Amino acid sequence: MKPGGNKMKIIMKKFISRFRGMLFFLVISGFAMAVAISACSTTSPVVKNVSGAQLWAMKCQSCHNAPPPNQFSPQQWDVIIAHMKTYANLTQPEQDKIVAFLKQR
Amino acid sequence: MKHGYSHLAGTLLVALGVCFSPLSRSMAQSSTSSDNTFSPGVTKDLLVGDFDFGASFTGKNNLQYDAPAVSLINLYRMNNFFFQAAIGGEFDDNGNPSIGVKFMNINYLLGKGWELRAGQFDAMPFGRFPRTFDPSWIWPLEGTPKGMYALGLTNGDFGVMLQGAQYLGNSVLRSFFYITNGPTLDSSTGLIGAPIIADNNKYKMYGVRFSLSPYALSNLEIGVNAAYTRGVGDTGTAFARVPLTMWAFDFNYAPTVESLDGFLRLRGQLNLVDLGNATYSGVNYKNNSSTYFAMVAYQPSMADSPFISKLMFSTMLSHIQVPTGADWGRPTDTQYDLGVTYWFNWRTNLKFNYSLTQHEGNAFYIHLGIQI
Repeated sequence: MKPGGNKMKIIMKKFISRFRGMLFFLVISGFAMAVAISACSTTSPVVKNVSGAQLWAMKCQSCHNAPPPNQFSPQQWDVIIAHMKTYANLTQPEQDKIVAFLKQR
Repeated sequence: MKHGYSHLAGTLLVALGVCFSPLSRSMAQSSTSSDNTFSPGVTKDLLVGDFDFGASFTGKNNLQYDAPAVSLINLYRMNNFFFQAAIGGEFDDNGNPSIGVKFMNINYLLGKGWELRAGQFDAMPFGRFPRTFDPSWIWPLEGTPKGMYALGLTNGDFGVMLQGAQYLGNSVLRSFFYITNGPTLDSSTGLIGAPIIADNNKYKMYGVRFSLSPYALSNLEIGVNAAYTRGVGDTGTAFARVPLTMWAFDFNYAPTVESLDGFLRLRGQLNLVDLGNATYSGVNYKNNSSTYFAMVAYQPSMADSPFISKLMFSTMLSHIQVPTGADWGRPTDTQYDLGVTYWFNWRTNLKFNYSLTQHEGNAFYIHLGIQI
């Protein structure tokens, strides 16, 4: 065994013991993300053919009443869609199509 | 030193909020007159909020007004940066007004459906209820599901989060990953409590949420949530190394049903909480608890009568299972709720709600909820 090998082992053991939760989280999350990234796509053939109006009605209604497009200005819809992303975790096409529809008024 | 960093992070976030808010307003005004462009980026700002007030009847001549509560939410966006902060005002049990920061976080839109977030979050992605359904102008019943806030994590937390939504064929996979301070622990009762910004120990909470919408053109969503921390108690106490594992399973579906001339809202969530064994006030018990709720609401939104079309009928079953031997000040209990809500418009409602519980008595509520 190399000099200092035992010391390194002890340090590694302490490190694993200290950060066990974080390592577990990173391994699980990394695996899940790797699967998600490799298997997932940023778009779907189904969503390509759906209008922003349909997505607006469907996605907003899943939690609350859908606000009419004329309730806010186009600039405000840009802010609101970012706010809604934090809650509803919308996909990029969902965000883009819904906000484009709401801005048309 | 650790606490020092927490305070520094909090101070920075407050400073960002204070600086961005007035600046953004002036930028927003400028942007309106210059075709919405403002070098170097496009800035947008919005102030919204909600208000609620109500009264409850718990027997003959026993009318009690609920304290009114208001919150104001400042939303600010500059290109891919998004900042949101909320201040809430309400009256405490003694009638004294109190004002506090409800949440404050900064977010960066990474693109392709991914977003990086940091700061104080209002409700963690642990199930659906606290995060998306709780505001009074959204939830059709007066009361929250039994025991839903017995989980410390549901009160919001401080940390970092990565979230994203991607297509998986014709399904949508929505993911959340977060590392936060985690809940605290009341060592006298064994109840977990709200997280605090000056973390009470060195252990962080690690959490994930995955939800699947099996069909991209449906709003059906089924979620699985998990969170773990190696310790919840205060540093230097015997409870510092008491681990906490939580699971939640939830579903949400809001289909339009033409045969019913309206739409349904079907929601449910099951929470399982497992705290490591410890002795609380001389009593050692297995500190496992669970809560669940199931709600059905129906609004005949396509009815010919304008009045009928604005009514929503809802019912909910909720339950909390308290550990055997625990002195939580609340028993294992089941609650049934029946409600009728009148929607003045998409963001203002008046609720009439009858609530039956096994142990805490029955009550009738009237409640007004407004998104401002």
